[in-house]
Amino acid sequence: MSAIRTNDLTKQYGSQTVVSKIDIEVESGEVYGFLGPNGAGKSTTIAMLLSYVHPTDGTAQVLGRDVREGSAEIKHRIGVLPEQYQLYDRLTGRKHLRFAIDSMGAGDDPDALADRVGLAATAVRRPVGEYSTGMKQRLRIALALVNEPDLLVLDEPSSGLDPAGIQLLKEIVLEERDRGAAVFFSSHVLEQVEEVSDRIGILVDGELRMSGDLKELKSGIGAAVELEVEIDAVSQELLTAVESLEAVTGCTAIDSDYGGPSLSISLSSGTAKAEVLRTVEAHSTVEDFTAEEQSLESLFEEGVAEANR
Amino acid sequence: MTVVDIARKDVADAVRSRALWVATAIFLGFILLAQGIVLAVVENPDPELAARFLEGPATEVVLPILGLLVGYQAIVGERETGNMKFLLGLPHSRLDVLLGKFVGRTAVLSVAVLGGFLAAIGMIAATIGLPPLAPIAAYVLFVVLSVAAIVSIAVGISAVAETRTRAISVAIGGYLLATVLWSYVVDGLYYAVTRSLPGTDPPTWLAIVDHLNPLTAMSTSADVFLPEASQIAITATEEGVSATQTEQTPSGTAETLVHEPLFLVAVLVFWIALPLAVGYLRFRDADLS
Repeated sequence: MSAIRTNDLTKQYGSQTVVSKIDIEVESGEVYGFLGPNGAGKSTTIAMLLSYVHPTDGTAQVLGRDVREGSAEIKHRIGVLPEQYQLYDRLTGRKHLRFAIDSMGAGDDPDALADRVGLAATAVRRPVGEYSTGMKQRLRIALALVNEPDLLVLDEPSSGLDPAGIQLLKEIVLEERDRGAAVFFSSHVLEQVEEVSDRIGILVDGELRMSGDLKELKSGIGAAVELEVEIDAVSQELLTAVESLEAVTGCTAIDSDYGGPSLSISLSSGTAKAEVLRTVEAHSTVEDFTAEEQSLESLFEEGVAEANR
Repeated sequence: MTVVDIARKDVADAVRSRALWVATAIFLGFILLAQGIVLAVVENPDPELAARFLEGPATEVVLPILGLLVGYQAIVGERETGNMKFLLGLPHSRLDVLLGKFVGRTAVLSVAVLGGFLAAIGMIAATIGLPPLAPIAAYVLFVVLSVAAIVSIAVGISAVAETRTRAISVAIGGYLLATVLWSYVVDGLYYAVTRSLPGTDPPTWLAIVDHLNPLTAMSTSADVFLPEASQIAITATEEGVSATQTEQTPSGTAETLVHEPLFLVAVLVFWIALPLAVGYLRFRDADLS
């Protein structure tokens, strides 16, 4: 049973599509890094997984149960850190933990949880209103750890944390994974996801642009390729033929000041290079070509730049 | 019991934020003020007359305001701060949260109301003698039921509204409708049906319409349970104003359906159930972002 499985999960607000047909699968004992620039739809996706927001289309299953039904019961087994939620300023950190433990019907020791996230025994007895941003975030992480959850859903957990806090967060994420829990966490910073994730997904403009095993993505196997082909002439038949290939995700003709025109072709996988070149050859004469494998970084940065436009 | 968890937390919050004490102090202040005036102005008042004045501005005007203030933020406030995501991230359903908030806030205001009544009864007992306790207890029970209805309306509004500002606007509108505008609504309806204005003794159906207002139902429960007030004759002389009791009882108080305690209970229970049901259906389908 997957910890998380979504199928064509979609959220529209009016005519605006915030999350578009995304498929995600997260297994027990793995860390899934959910990457994307701010405003890409990460929080909305997480809100749908936690049934804060109702999907307009598609399905989402969490720990084998549809999020549309029985969401309260499922939460006994999930630890959550939703997007920047406020704590209760007048309550102490300990009272927060106590409330979460009681609500969960769990047997955790609030002091042990506080200690795990580096909140001092004196601090945890003070009202949260007196906490620094970092201390509040540490408390939120501790709250997500109550009742040894089978799944942790953390939305931007490193926000507000100092470097030491970020390091501690990474250790906790790995400890939880080694315990057998699935960890799903989002970030807009690639480095924070890279170090701990087994698999990642990159969300841009509500679409899952890339997802897969982090090691494979980094080594370039199956990675996307940008192909530049210089040819003698561009014809409509050529463009149609190239675009009809399965691996091609985009094809544009570029007029260049020197030499002939060229084609800029985006491929979802490098293995299709030869096939694409053969197709181009069939309709024109290839003068020269370059192939550039897209690294995780370049893809992510491209996505960010695209979203910022 | 997750409703109880939420309710207990809500009461604890009210204690910590001093909302409980403020509500108690305001209600207490008004009910004691009204009693004080009765005891000071009326010559030789008896405990029964004083008991009649347990109903007054404190219950008619102040209590509905307190109820709306206590309840209007219950859901929408936590939505705006994002606290709601914390609550719903734990194994609480949206229904649990709504009911827990309703129970917690009703409990808070009920404590304030009971405190106020106890103080007022103590004041009567200490100055002019023990008032009749059984009818007062029955009346207080109806006031507590009305508290639950008012809080339910407020919590219902807070479950439907998208923002706090919208919630307070609707609450104020509802308050004005139920207090200032209600008689016009009732008279207007009568005029629409009969093309004339109701006289001194309105027909039963109109009284029933009038009592669909929970505040009217609460006020009638005072007429039903509290001792009948003797007439008070107010005389203004050169020395000032004085009031005396006469033995005359007011005329024109025909017993109709609206004086049936069961009918009044039904109205108040309806106003407890309806806002919570509407609020839940809207809140259940709402996107919390």
